[in-house]
Amino acid sequence: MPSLKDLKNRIGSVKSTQKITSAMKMVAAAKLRKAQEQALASRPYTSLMDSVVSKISSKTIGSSIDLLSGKEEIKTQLLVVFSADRGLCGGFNGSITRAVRSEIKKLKDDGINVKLLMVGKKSADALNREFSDFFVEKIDGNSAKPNYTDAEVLAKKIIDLFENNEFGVCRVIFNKFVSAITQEVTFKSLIPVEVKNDEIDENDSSSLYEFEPSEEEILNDLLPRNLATQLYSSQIESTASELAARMTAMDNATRNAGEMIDNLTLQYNRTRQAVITKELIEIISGAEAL
Amino acid sequence: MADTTNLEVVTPSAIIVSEPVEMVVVPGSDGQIGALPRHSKVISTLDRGLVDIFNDNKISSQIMIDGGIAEINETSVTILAERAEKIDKANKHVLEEKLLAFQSQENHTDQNIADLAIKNSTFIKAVLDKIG
Repeated sequence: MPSLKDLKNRIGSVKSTQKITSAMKMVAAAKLRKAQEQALASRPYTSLMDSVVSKISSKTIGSSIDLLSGKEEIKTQLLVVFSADRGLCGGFNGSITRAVRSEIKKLKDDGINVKLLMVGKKSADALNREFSDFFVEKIDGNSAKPNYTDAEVLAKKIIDLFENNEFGVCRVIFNKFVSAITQEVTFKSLIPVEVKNDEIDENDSSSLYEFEPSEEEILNDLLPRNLATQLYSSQIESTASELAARMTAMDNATRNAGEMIDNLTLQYNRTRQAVITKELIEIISGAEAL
Repeated sequence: MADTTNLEVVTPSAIIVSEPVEMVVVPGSDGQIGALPRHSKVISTLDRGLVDIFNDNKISSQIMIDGGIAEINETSVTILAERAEKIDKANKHVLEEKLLAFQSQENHTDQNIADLAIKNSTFIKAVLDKIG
């Protein structure tokens, strides 16, 4: 049976925890709004880029541009993993880490080597012990404030690795922002480029486009940009998901702390009354003994 | 009102311009392209340079872009650029601050970051030159 003082201390500490979690929840909510705005602002660029890439690549099927088709002969795949730099965001980092682990296993079974490029500290830390041999690079500090320049730097790194034949296929793994309470672990192929074919079949007019300079030259210029764009949008999605996950987790924590405080207060009051009763009994039985 | 074509200039962080214009001249990498309404369909890469927007037969505004790609068709001109800045709306002080930030990164140990910083600062310098 904890004493009254113990209970009081515990209530105090739970209360201060609740204050912290509710503050974190509010901070995450405010940041999430900003992240959503940023995601919204980047969407036109991303979708236009997608449509241009689809239009051109449909005309150059069978061409020998490696960035478009990948290098099948190289049995190595690069996975770019987006996670958070900080914890306290529920299952966010855990689900990414789990997905990466099972994907590595699957690829290994298929006889494909894996290389990992970790963006964000948490997943890198979690996978460090098992798979540190696969790490190509660990990058952190990008998730707090996603910007296009970081994505460009990352894209340059990936292209350099690709040109040195370090891998043949490249995919990103990130938490896709579905809503404030749902995030989905998503795989997306960067090399070869994912082309939306349905869009092209609909309007055959794309074949009427003239290209200046040639299709190949445009693609050589465009594909690195497209890579950066894809990485940028993955990073934005991941950041928005992280904040949403943190908001939900902190909301739950605040509610749980509230419940805990209620229970502890009840216990405290009961104990207090028991102590009073005990004292009364002692006084009465003392008086009777006289 | 004369015939117009829809001009869109988009960067990863924002839509810079989205409005109907009479004519637009873009800095294509094989030479400038003037696009009027009902222009034939063209996709072209762009160099760093000025996008001239024409209204009432004269240049109504200019946008500096740092290369990119343009998709021109009968009804619209879409420009995708990584960096773009409206010349008449640009804020000199903000740009100068940005320039300093990028210049401080130009000697970064990571070659990729340094290269990008140089790219960024050259672009801002070009914009500042235009503002005068």
